[in-house]
Amino acid sequence: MKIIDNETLKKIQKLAIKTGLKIDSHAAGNRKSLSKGSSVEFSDFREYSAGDDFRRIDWNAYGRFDKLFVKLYMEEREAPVRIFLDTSLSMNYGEPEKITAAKRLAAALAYISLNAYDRVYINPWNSMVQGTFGPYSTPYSFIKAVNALEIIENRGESNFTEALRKMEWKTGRGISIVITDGLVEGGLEEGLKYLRYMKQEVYLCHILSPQELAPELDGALELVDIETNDIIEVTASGELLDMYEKSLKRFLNNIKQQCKKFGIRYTLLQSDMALEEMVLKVAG
Amino acid sequence: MTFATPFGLIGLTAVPLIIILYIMKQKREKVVVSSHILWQKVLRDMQAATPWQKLRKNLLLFLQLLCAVLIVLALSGFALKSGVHTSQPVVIAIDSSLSMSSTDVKPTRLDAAKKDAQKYVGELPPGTPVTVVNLNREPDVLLYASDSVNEIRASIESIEQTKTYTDVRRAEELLLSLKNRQPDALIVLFSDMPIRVGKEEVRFSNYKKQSDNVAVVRFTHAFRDDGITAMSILRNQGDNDSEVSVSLYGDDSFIDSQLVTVPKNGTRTVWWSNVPLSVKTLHCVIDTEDILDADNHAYDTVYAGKPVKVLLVTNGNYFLEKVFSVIEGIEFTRTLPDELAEYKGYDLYVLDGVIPDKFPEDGNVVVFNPVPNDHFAVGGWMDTPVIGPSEHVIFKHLENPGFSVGRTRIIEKPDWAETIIEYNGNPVIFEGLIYSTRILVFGFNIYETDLPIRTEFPIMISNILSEYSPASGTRISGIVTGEPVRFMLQPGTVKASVITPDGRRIDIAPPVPPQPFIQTGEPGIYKVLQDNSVNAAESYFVVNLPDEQQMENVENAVRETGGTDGTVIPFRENVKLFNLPLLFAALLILVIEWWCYANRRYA
Repeated sequence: MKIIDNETLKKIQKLAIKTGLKIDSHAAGNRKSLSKGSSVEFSDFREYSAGDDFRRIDWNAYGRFDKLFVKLYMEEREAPVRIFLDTSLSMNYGEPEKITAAKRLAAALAYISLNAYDRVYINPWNSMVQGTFGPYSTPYSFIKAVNALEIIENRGESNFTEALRKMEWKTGRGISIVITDGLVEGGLEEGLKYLRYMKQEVYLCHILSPQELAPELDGALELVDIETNDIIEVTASGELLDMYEKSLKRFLNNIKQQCKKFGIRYTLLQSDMALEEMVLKVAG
Repeated sequence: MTFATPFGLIGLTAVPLIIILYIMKQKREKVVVSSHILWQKVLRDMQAATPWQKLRKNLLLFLQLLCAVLIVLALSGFALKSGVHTSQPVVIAIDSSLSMSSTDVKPTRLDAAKKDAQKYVGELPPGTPVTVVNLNREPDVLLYASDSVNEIRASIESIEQTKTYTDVRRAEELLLSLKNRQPDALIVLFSDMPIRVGKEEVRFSNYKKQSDNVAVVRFTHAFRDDGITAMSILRNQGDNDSEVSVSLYGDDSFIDSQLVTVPKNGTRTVWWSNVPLSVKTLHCVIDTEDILDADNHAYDTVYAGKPVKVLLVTNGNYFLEKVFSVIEGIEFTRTLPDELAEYKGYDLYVLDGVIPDKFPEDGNVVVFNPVPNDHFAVGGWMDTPVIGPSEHVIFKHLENPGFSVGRTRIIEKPDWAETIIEYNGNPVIFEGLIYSTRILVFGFNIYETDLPIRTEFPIMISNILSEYSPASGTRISGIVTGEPVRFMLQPGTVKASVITPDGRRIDIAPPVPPQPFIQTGEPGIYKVLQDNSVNAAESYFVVNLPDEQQMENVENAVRETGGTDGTVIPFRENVKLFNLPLLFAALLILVIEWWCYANRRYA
């Protein structure tokens, strides 16, 4: 599955110039600007990867370890950007499928982050985090990130809080981008709270399909839960759909309120939106 | 709890049918959704709005089942035993007629009725005034407004099976009069046919469970050259054709048997030919068993005795001579008064304008145009217009029993006589008994009346012959169970008795004439023995069950009284029926079910 084609990539490149993830100073105040040079305190090494500035290679270290390391300085340390991609089966729903839109968005955001020399991690999750792809730290590793996104498969039910708690955290402060439909067992609140506790600047990209936002149902139906295969019998009528609309509004407002409460950037997206529109809404 | 018509419970089979139909109901279209989270919230919201929504998933099924059950209960006559809480007077009417001896209800309908009546009495509150009525040919009040349970029970128990049919009109009259005396009384009828009592409500406990019965409803015979030909008419009261074996006995000896099919609700005539002339009694019996045995038997007597000897003593009476000469089966002699030496040797003496000093003793006497004599005072003449009619037997079968008389003798009615017709206190026709001789007197000359030229004249003479010939005293026919028999003994009889079918000997004379014989409750052959001190005579009469015509009368009476017009309410035990409330409830539930269906949000 090609989630990003060349046309889209070009558009994203343009967007990357115009946009950037805005990080609050208190969350990652040491995420720097490249123009501020090298006069700052050495902080760390990390292994070289394609696209790194050759000038920062520590040749002494190369002599000793026979591996290329680049020097990192305090003011240059990248912000780790974690993309938490909901890969539960519910994301397979919709026309177009939410997961497609989610992966494209994830790719775009990864590209933007890599262009800013941030380290990008991709964490697919359902009831637990299904491993960590990355880190990707240079624009040249974008293709690796895209490849990783393409091989991720959707399965199982989602439980955001459980997934995060079981996850092994190796990074400190950073940016967490959560891409989900929010149809999560136990809700998102605890998970979002946990991310804030882990000192993450959180972006919540809430993707729903047009079929979820305005279902077109009629007659006697058996509604089959795509994740659990449970069945609910309904006779769809105008009244029932009105009730659904109200219920949806309450659901969205609830998530918005939670985000507001925890200082999280919330963006509601629709799976049939153009990618640029989605990126602009999230990072514009 | 009980059911008046338990077969209605068959309708309960509709319940599994509804369930099956419900299971097989419309298939829902499957639609995959991303999650139930939002939908469950919607459902919770709806349930919060209407708390009973949770039940609503299967509500339609429950309502349909409930509706079906209610209809079935209504059709089954669902009733609750309800104790009577007031001391409302009760009239218990128990039918003891012949049909109540049917065995379609074990042991018999009457036994079951009595048992139910006893049970009913046991459920009445203490102090309830109870009247017990026995319904049969002569409906009778056995106990009136008694609150003694022992008396009531004994009274019910005393009711015995009769072999008569219930006189519906008399039963209605009696029950109506009881109701009038106790306007708040509840009439409870234990019978196998409904009887309406005016417009009053009657609780009817029905004991007729089936009607598969074949009866001998008519049995008679006629003389032929080669012997006697008998005829039996069988009637099938059931709803299925019935093949029965029927036999003929003469003087208790088997004569013949036939296998015949009697159509449903129809009749079949069976002929028996070449029956020996020597038999005196005939007995027809259906050998095939059915629910009512009593009506499987019918009896007949054969009268093949000597012809009646009639002597007409007259100076000349064309009409009387002519009419007696054309009557078959009599030996008729005419003589002038002067030619007759002695009044002796005839069965019937017809005296026209002649009265001897001493009436004959070996035969009865009919007098026309009496002359002064020693037996009763005869004066002059008085003008007389049209006379009659009368219920007397000599006017039987006459279409117009009245006739014109120019004048009649003025007669002082003797003590031994009874007036049949009188005009202004003067007896025109009278009869009486002198010793054992019956005397019938017409106080006019038939030449001065229009009687001889009327078509009724030969019939009246024939009636006189039948009634006043001495042999007629024992030629008794058409007697049905319970009907009294009036014997006319042969002149000179001083002692007579009857031997009943069960062998009992009942003396009927003296006195002479005897009192009506009333012990005719048992159908069968009765033997009459007469002793006139010189010799003994033996004759027979038979008692049968009421014939088909009478049965039809009963049925007509039932129809006329409108046995099913709503005032006769089916009754079983002391119960309260809930048919109508149940049907209304079913209708209401049907409406609710429709409303739920029309306003369903989800099923």
